Amino acid sequence: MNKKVRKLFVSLLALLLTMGFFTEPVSALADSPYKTYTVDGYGSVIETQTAYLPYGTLNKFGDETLKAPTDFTILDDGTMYILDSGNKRIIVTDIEGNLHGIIGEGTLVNPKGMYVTEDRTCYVADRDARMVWVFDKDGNLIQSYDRPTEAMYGETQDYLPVKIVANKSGTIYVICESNTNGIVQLSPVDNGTFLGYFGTNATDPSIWRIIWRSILPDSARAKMLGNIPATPDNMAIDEKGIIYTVTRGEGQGTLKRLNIAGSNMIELENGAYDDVPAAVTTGNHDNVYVVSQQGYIYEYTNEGELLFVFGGSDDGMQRIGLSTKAEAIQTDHNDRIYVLDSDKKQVIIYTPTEFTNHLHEALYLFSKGRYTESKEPLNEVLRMNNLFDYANMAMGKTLFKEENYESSIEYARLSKDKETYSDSFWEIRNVWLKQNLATVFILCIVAFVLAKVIGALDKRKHILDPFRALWDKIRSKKIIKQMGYIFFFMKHPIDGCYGIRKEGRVSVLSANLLLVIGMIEYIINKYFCGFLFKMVREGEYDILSDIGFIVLVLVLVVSCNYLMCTINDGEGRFKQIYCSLIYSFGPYLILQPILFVLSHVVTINEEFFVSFGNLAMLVWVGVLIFISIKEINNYSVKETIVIIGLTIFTILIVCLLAFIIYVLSSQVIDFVESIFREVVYKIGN
Amino acid sequence: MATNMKKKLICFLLVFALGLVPALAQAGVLTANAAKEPVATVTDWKETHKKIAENSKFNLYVCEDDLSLVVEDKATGHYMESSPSYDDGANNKTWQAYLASAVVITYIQGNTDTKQADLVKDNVQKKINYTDNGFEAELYWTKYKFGVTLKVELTDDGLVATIPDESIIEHSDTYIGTLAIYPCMGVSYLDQKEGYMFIPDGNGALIYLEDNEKRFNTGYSSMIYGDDIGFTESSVANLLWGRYEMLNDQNLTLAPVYGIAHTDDDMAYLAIVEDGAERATIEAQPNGVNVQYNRAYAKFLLRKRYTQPTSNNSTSGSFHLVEADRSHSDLTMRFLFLNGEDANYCGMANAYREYLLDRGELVMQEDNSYRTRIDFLGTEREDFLIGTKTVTMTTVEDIYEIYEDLAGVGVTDLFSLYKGWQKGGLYDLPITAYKADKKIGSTKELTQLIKDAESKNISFFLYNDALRINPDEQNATFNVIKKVNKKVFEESTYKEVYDTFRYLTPTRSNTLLNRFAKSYTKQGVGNVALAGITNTLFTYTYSNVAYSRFQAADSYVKAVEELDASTKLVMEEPFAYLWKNAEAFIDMPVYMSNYLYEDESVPFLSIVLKGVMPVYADYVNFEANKEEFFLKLIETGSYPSFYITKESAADLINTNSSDIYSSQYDVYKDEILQYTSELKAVNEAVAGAVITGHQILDNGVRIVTYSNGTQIYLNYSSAAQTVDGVSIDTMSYKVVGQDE
Repeated sequence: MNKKVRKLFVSLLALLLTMGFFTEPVSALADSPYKTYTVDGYGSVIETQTAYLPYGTLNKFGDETLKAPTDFTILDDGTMYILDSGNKRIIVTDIEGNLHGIIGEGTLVNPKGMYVTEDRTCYVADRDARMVWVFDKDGNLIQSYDRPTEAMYGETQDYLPVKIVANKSGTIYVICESNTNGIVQLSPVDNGTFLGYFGTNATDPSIWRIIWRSILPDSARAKMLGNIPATPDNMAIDEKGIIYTVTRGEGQGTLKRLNIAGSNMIELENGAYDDVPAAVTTGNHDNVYVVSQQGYIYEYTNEGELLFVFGGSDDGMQRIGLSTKAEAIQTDHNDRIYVLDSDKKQVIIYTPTEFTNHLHEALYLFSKGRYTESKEPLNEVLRMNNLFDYANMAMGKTLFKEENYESSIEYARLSKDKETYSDSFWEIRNVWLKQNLATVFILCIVAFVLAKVIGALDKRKHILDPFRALWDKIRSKKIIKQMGYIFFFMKHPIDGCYGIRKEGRVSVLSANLLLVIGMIEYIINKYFCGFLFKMVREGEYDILSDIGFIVLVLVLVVSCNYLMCTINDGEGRFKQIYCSLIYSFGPYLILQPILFVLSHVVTINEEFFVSFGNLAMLVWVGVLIFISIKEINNYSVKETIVIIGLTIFTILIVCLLAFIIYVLSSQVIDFVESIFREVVYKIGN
Repeated sequence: MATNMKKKLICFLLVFALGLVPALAQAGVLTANAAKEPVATVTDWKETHKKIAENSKFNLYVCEDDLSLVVEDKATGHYMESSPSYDDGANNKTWQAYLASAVVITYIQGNTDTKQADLVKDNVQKKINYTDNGFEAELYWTKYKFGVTLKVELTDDGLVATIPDESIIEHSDTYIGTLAIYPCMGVSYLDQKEGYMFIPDGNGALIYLEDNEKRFNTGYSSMIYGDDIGFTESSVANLLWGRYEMLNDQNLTLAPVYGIAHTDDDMAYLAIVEDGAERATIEAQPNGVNVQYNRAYAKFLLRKRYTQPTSNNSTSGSFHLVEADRSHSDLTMRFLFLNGEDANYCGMANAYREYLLDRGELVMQEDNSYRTRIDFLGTEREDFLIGTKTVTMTTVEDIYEIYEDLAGVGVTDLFSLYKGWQKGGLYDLPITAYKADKKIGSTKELTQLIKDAESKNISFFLYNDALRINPDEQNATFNVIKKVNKKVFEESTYKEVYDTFRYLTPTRSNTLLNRFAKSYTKQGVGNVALAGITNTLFTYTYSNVAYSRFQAADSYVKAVEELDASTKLVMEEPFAYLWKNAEAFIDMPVYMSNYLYEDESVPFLSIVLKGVMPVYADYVNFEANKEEFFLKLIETGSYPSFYITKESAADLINTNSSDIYSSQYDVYKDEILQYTSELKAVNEAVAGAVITGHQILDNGVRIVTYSNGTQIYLNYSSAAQTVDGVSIDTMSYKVVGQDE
């Protein structure tokens, strides 16, 4: 009897093995149901080659199926532990779906998270049991940690472990539901010593929030969401013991790489993250993967730069590779990605494409500083997609290292890598200066001499008289005179205001012309200033809304200011207020062109010149505005401050009113239209 | 001895216990339990069905109660049935009726449109007349007051089942919504039969007849000739970060076919939706979807409910309406039965090719020779200050240069589409006259290029999307289609410069194409690559008149025929009804959509078309797995395609073509050379031949056999393999000639 059973078992095993063997080599031969995107330095999203193809799914392990699984771990040898939460057990299997064992039946209550070390010690975070369980490699319960008793833990703090990892020395990190103090750090010593909280998320102390909270009455403030830090949603630990966390709704803090001290090492300003991340894991090339609940899979460099985003929610068509509710993510040594879906009760496997393999190779070589070697895979990546931002950035840096500045600057510009751009630009400028300094000097001397000669000739023979006459003729034109008044106004604002009020030195026409010039300068500067100072992306133009915005703001400011002044004994008339405001922008009109030119020749090192110029210009404009409001209306300093405050308040009220009218009228129009159409259709049918 | 006795005793007790259970059940003791356990029964179909016709290969039997059929292979006695004789006892009455009925209808009554009417559970007046080769049955559902006449005929190659348009009567306001004829033809239970269902997904896909253990809850359902945009609700797409379209479209169903093969019985059929395909879906439900039977069928749509919003703001109100008129067409299913060596997907494809050639719906093209397709992008537009500005990618002069450069390395067999050649760039649509964008050169220069290319034996075509109109560039108030709910249809591009397009009415497309063709052919040239209308079909309204997909298809066929008379036409992914006018097939899909229930991708369409007309695959540029794609090109006999620009693709980043992330000629030159040299050799070995055999082996090797005896072995596995004494490296191929 026994022999027979054994024989049967052996042949079955052989069958399974051969099946495994045959399923392995045959590739997927299919299109991916999703697109793959990457993000460039401007945060704009670009489509790219499919990074990972769906390879298959696992939903049966031996004869066992899953019920609301929430976590899993894949070890280096391919052993997979799945936390089958709905069935209160852990399934041990391999990536072919053969069942190797079941752990934790009868012990687990409502487990939510699990971590398995390479020596197969299995840590389970059991929320409803309020307990952390530890099983050895044979599935025996060897340890359990309940709520820390230390006072530091917080006296009223509940203990609801949901996610867990452990480092090589056995220190356990536990995320507890609704524990906002941070990740609970437990030491295995003495049955679990509480070591303290780790990697606490910061609160949002923005100035608006502070103002808002101070305005609100107590009852409303009580209802407001408390200003407490968010609890991380999930975490992962890498070989070196560095912990990665993901937290929903944290904006730029969504993904964090925490060093041993618990501080975040990702310093990116414009990272692209998901709103509802579900899990995080690390890859083999200093890369990080995040999966969102909807099934979007993100791959990042360890600096937090997005390489790929792909995957997505199932549209009901049951295409492989789309998830319904993703819970956890893992990778294996082949760079395959595994995503656990609790709703579909399955593990989806993705396999990297040739493109991704090239990128990973480049990533690895580049991060190890082997720049020259990394050029080949980088070229391969760029050959397949020459808009791939990371590759352009790496290429720019590599070429810089090779002192090929001309090419480097191109790549840096493509990837908006301002540092490399600035460095390369410095080198190029340096070379240019070396080569052309003599010429420039000569040209300057020639120009100087020429000017002197012409001056001398003019003195004797008056050769410049016709030009002078022309100049005088132009200057004597009324409108030119009025516009030229701006120079005087800049330097003598009090007298200038007197001129506007009493002497009629300016007209609405001249102010309008200055406004147009100002707008042109603004637009030119916005779109064509030096790369290092550009705020908008290359090739992006939206002039109409720029002009619209300026005009709208101007109308609002002038009219609200006028309204406030008239009811507060201001003496200024509408025209005077408008003109004085426009003339107050004199410094902008004069200085902006200089700053514009400057922005084309400075590097990050000399950035100070431009930013200081900007600041000085703005302060000057501000002072002029203040003085002109004061002088035109004949106010005291205190009155002026009050008027400015009132003007801002009026602007806010006007905006609010406009919004309310818009909402109400669109509702009414919609309502009338609905009735009309319904009647038409009902009669028509 | 003692042990022996013990064994006997145990056996006896066991037998006794087993015998007791049914006895007790009968006595009512265990009825509660017994009711739960379904009891399987097998009916002998020979008792319920009678023979009514035969041809040289098959006998046809019918059951008068439900008009179900059995087709029997005369030689072997194997059969396929339209109503399962094996009943697993687990189905409710509705499903039992469904499985047996020859005609299954879902009717629309008030607000419901999912209720079923059939020949078994409903009261149906039947009038059956037997004809020479089959029967005619007038069917009338007394309760719902509608009826149809079903004509069944056994012909030489198979079986034709028709419901003529005029026989469909609706006497009350209960309407026929959908109708399926023999939805269970070739049905099988779980894995009782070996074989597969073939579905026209992508190039072709198979669903094996395996026990799925209830893993799937939906099966394949795809509208023939694409989804009907006339009915799409303005739903919120699933967008990444609320902005970016994440899902790829599913493959279009280009041909109205499906099939089932029972490989253990050497019996199969290919079903062709002969009439009514313009408004029908192909369905394939593997076991586990509602019932444990494997079914594939076509479902005709006659009438549909739709949502009529009452305001532009979709949230604020809407009501449901039913189409005023049903679509009018005969509904014909042709089942081509295959046996012996032909009983597989390759036999199906061959049968389909023969069928199309016989009827003139496919024409053997004279020029089938190998060419590498190199498409050029002329100009695109990006936002600039106020308005847009041109982004020039490839000029006429650049194309001369590239051709010369390629000729220099021996690549002369070329086929090109020129996209974005027209005034205003790629998306200044529609094209109303033959006028080149100034930035690529003058119209005269372009004409000269087309003529020069021809003299160098390069096929050069101008790309023309005759469907779309760009409301930002042209007046799109008139001549654009509206959906059934009389809202203008807008296609979202999710791109920066132009965010929506509209569709021209078929009549307008026709007019504009004629106008374009006139000014084009006047110059002595006439190569057009037609797109848009070749693979789009919709129900629409215009000027308060409703038009069906049948009418749209007719208009397009007429437009294409008119155009074909004066020009040389190649088409982008054309639907089957346009194949006869196409001199080449552009953008053939080589993969399947990767549905959970799909088991294998097969080159069905390629087998049909290889050797009949040149077939060009999707662009190589955007493939991530180049090695695999290369093998796929060889397996399907498709010619490679490249999307090429002179300038770097980085220039396109702010245009609507921002999804073209790699296209520069300098980058692709070597690859073009490599693809050309290898693929030309392979395709010349099979020149003039069609594919007659296709095998998928377990070790990842596939064998394609051509009519001239040449065999191509492809190894998709990660290890070297040896098959029939032919050894093939990993991710590689080998061509074995007839003599070898």
